[in-house]
Amino acid sequence: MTLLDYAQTQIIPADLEITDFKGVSVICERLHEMGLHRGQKIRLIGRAPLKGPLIVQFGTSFLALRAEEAECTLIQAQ
Amino acid sequence: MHFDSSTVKTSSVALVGAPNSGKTTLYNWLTGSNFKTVNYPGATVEYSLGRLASHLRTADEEILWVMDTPGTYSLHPKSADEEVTIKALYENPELGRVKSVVVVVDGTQMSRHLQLAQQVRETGFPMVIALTMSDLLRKQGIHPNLSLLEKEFQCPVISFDGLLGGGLRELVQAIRELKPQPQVRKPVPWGFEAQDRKIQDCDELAKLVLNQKSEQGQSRLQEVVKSTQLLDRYFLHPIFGLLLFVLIMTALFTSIFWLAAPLMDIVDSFFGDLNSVVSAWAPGSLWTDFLANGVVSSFGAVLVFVPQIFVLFLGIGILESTGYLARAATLIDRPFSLVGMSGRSFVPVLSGFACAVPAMIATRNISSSRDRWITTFIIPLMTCSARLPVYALLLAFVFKGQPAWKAGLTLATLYFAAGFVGAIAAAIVNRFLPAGQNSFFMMELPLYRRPRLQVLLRQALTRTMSYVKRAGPPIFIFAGIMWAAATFPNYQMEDSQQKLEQSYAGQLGHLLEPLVEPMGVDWRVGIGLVSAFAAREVFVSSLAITFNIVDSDEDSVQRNLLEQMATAVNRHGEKIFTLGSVVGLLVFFMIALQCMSTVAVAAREMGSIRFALIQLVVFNLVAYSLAVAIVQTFKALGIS
Ligand SMILES: Nc1nc2c(ncn2[C@@H]2O[C@H](COP(=O)(O)OP(=O)(O)OP(=O)(O)O)[C@@H](O)[C@H]2O)c(=O)[nH]1
Repeated sequence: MTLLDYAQTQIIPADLEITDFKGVSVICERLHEMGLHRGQKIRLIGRAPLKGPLIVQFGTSFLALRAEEAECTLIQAQ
Repeated sequence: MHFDSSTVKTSSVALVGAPNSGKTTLYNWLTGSNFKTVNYPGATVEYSLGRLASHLRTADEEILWVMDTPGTYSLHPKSADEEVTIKALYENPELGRVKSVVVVVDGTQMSRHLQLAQQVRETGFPMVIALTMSDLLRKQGIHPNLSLLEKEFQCPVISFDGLLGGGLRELVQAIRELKPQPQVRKPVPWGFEAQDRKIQDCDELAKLVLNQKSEQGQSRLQEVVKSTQLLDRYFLHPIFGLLLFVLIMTALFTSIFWLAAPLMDIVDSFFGDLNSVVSAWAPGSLWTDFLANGVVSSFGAVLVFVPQIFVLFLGIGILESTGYLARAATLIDRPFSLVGMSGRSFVPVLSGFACAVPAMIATRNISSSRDRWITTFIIPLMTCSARLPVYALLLAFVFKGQPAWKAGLTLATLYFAAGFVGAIAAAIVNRFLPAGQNSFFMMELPLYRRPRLQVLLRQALTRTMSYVKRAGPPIFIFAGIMWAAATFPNYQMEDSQQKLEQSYAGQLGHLLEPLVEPMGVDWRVGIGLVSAFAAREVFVSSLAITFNIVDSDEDSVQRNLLEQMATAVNRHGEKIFTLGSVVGLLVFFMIALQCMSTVAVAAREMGSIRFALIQLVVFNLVAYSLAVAIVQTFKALGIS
């Protein structure tokens, strides 16, 4: 399931694990550069109002991801 | 004495690191300069070069160039500012290729920042790793295992404290001892699989270095983010978050009025006194008249507003240094994307409220060129500090004798209205611009930091002074021209009103009159409007000259000017400054693009003179037409 699907259908906040990346390659590359990788444990903390960016925490980092970017991130619930 | 030139060592080192990792802070320590540091990822968009501070040199002749670069997540640039970094490393116009690199790694973000160190390692640049924010780690009792890092990266690793400068000398020594490399490689992209694996490795390594293998170690590191987590529960809350955003922005823009008011009174009465003192030197002589009514009045009329500009810079400075701006950008991403921009446009647009020139340069942080185009297009619509004197004067006129909060709230409304007009403009452009490639937002939210008051005040003061320095010369030159034009040729005439009518300024003004009459104003204001193309604030000083010609014994330049405006009539005996004409003027100044530096920067940043010219013509045509439409509507409705 993509991170976006999860955020739209399940309860937030939630602890998740990244399984893979797919889609637009430059977005996947930038997601990596931001420090995300397969097996990374992340916490979906919330979403900005008006269906804005998703807020994700991993380790000591906080990241805001737009819908298009969250769509490239595949996750599974922990 | 024999002088051996080979003892004079010239070398260069570049600071490279992820956005917000503390490069600028380190740069300031190394060079002894005072560049502003900002808690927003992507604040530096231009490289800067400085010589190693004299107290750090071993010999006076030693030359070590230190270069601060825009933050970059990798050596494969994805926005204009990241490209600046790569260019600055490999083909620097001043240094050629830099000799060595300091990779700046934020100790609290180590797992993410090590990949950049890995990329630099692969290029073969001689390098040192500087581990910043070491004070934060120390506070939690975390002592990074530096020798492990040194072994992995085969380079010196120095822990650095940006608050107190601890580790500075060791770092400089390590840079000195680097062995020059005759050849370096260009960065080669890793590819998806390799990248994923390497980042996992960096993650593992960081855990080892920071002793994160135990539960206890992990919870220690988590202490660093505790307060940030708590604050974000409110600042990013779906309801409170928006509410706080509106509240913060309103507070910022209203404080410009009420917080600055007491300071403004001081400045105003100072110039009032100065005027009387100067006038008393040699009453009736041309020189005294020039100094008192030309120079002092012009400067007084504009400098009254300097406290407001200071408050604005201070407010923006607070938002920058706490880390709130990245949150604001996140909140605004969705609304902005509806009109073709992204949350990354927020900071450039907000800086546009101070000055359009740095704001346009700040758009380099926007990765999509289409977003960047639209953002640059609408930035001149934001209420820059040069408009503030004009608005403030007109509002002071409308709300004369009424409580300050009314003018303050109206000013805040004007600021929001600028945002609204910008949104409309962006939506229109968005319609007609061909669809672009992907734009991404992906914003790192930095940890909140407590700003230091002393630093904030100093930065706001520096920026205000640079505003004054920039505005000063045009005000002075135009004060001279305006005064001369308003005084000659009949300078001996007794009736000052008639003297002005027949002066050169009067003659030119009458030529302009047909153009400005539809805006409900007379030739005197027309001259002000034309001179505002030198700099917007010149409008105010030009009014001070054309309306203030009649000597009076008011003790304040501004009050005197307001008095004159209230009674001014055109040649049909109708009042010039009515509600209609003032609103018309406000709208004109909101939209008109009257700043030539903005035009020049737009042309440079967009690489297109056409872009800048279109912007110039469109904004001024729309401004004029709207102002005329408003004034005529007010007239037709009989509101005065
Ligand atoms: N506690 C602490 N704060 C630091 C340290 N170094 C920098 N900071 C703060 O971290 C923030 C970012 O620092 P900058 O020096 O502007 O970072 P930068 O890497 O130049 O950022 P960009 O210009 O965005 O690339 C600022 O708020 C600094 O005050 C440090 O060693 N300790």
